[in-house]
Amino acid sequence: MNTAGPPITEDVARRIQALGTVDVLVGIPSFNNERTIGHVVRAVVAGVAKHFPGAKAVLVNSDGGSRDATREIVERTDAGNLAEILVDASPRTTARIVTPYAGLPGKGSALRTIFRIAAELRATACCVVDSDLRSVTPGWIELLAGPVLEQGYEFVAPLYARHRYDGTITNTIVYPLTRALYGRRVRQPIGGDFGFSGALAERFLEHDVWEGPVARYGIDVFMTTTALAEKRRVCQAFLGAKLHDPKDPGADLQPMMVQVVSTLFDLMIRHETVWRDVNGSESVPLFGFPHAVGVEPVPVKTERLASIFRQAATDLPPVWKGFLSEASLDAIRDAADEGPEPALADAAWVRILFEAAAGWRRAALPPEMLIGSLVPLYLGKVATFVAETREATDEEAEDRLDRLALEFERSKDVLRDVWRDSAR
Amino acid sequence: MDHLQQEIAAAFTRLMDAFVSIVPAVLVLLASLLVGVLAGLLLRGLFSLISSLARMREKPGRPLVGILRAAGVDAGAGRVTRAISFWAGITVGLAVGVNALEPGALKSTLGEVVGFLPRLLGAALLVLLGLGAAALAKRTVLLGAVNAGLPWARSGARGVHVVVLSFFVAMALDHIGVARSILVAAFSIAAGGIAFAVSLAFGLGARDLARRYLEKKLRAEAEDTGIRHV
Repeated sequence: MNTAGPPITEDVARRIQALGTVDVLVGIPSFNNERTIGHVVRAVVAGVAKHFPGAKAVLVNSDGGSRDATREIVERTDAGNLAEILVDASPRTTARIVTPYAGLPGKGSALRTIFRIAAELRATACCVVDSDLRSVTPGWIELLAGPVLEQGYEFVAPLYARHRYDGTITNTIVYPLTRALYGRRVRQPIGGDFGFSGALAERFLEHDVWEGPVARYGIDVFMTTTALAEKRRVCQAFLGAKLHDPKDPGADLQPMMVQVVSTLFDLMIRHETVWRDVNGSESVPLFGFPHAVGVEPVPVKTERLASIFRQAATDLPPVWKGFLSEASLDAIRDAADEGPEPALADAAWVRILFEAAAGWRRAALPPEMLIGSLVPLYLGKVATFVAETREATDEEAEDRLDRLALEFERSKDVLRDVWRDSAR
Repeated sequence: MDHLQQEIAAAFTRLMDAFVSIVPAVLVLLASLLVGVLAGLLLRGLFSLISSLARMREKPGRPLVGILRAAGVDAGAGRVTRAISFWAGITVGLAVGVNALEPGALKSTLGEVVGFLPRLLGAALLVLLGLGAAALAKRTVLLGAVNAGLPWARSGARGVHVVVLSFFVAMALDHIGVARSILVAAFSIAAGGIAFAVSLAFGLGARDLARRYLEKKLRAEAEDTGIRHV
């Protein structure tokens, strides 16, 4: 037990010793997910039985102190009658470790414990799936762990069929920025469900990031960015639709955005030498068979988005002046005055984000204030996107996002300039 | 006539004697002030040197820089430190000079002025802190209110700015001992009055608005735009 990482309980250490090494490790971070975790465990057990029948596998549940029956459900749930689920089923059951995690409460801390256990078990292939999923199937396990186990990939990012207004932080910030920075088109960098090698799990542990936003929502973008920046073999896996337990979609926007975007900006500082010379982007291999999926409709009301953006355009310039240029401030003003709905142009949005990243680097404002002040601008960009794609087909909406991503790539020199200036 | 001339000459002589008697004291005072200025300059130079040697630039992760900028202060922490050290040198030089004076009316008067200086400087520091804290509070409230879509964001932020600044100004006035009892009473009455007026205005004058606002806040789904951010 020499691996660095969070502490593990004696019971877990004994289980690890008893298991020795494993081929496949499936991790499930959880917190009060009794409604959905039974389904996730069944899918995992069936997936391992069907797709990796000869492999030595373990299921690890890293729990944040659930006060409901989450942990009991993980311990007692099996796939049920495999013969009814799978045509060709192996009778093997999957070993499992259920443990609380140490550190700050959040998904990142939960995954850190899973990485530690993966490193201790010398796991060949690992995957993690969210515990609130309603659409996970046994096939997901094959698609996330298979490319690592059988094809030698080191990181598998998910590709979901999502509604155009589902995952708007991904669509307008994380995907285009990651693509422009590191030159690889990973469509869902913060998708939540990933496959990775045991060696990469060990590498994640070596980073000293576990006391900040990476311990929470920042973990997904940390994993993807680390894999891209370290030039690991990366691929995507098409998983179909992603449906999860309903929750208030707007309740946690600001803290979530602070955690994701601050991680993104921190990693820009860390990997400056990697992204500085990257131009353009290339696709990454895709596993799975992309097919049309009837995604859940998202009835969007843009009035509130527009009104917050407009109010911010009037009230927040004194704050924005701390890190935005006059050109960006003018563009915001123009976008707010445009018409019934905001029209924040791609070039302006890209420049705003690049200047925010540079402002982050020179600590122009405290972290929460800087990213908090981006929230209304992000809402304005989302409202713009909704207005542009309301009548569009899914393909047209995706093309629109691709144009935005291309604008990020084309404006890379702007980033280099503002970044250089921020060092003075 | 001669008598008058003698009286004028005597008065002039006394005035000259008095003037000549304070010249050394003034010279001592000026010399101390000069030493203070030199000490201030030396301290400022020393801090500049330390800053450049330690590369104390405004880098990410320096919380003081972030807080200064959040409060709208563009000067770096190093610049603020250098200014404080310079003026501290002058103040100490002045105090030493006054102490070196011969006992007399001048020393007594200057002593009172110099004795008052630390309290005045303390009060000035409190006002400066208040300006920073008020600006920080104003921006934080403004940002939170705008992001929550509250229509009173700007006026609310201004109100918070005034309240926080008033609090620090009251503390500063209290520190220098200006109308202490009146100040405490006035501040208490004003603070209580504002809270009472706001409660009445919100609860009675705009009870429909208050009801709608609370209902809206309690029903988060009413605010849902439909967008799924992640």
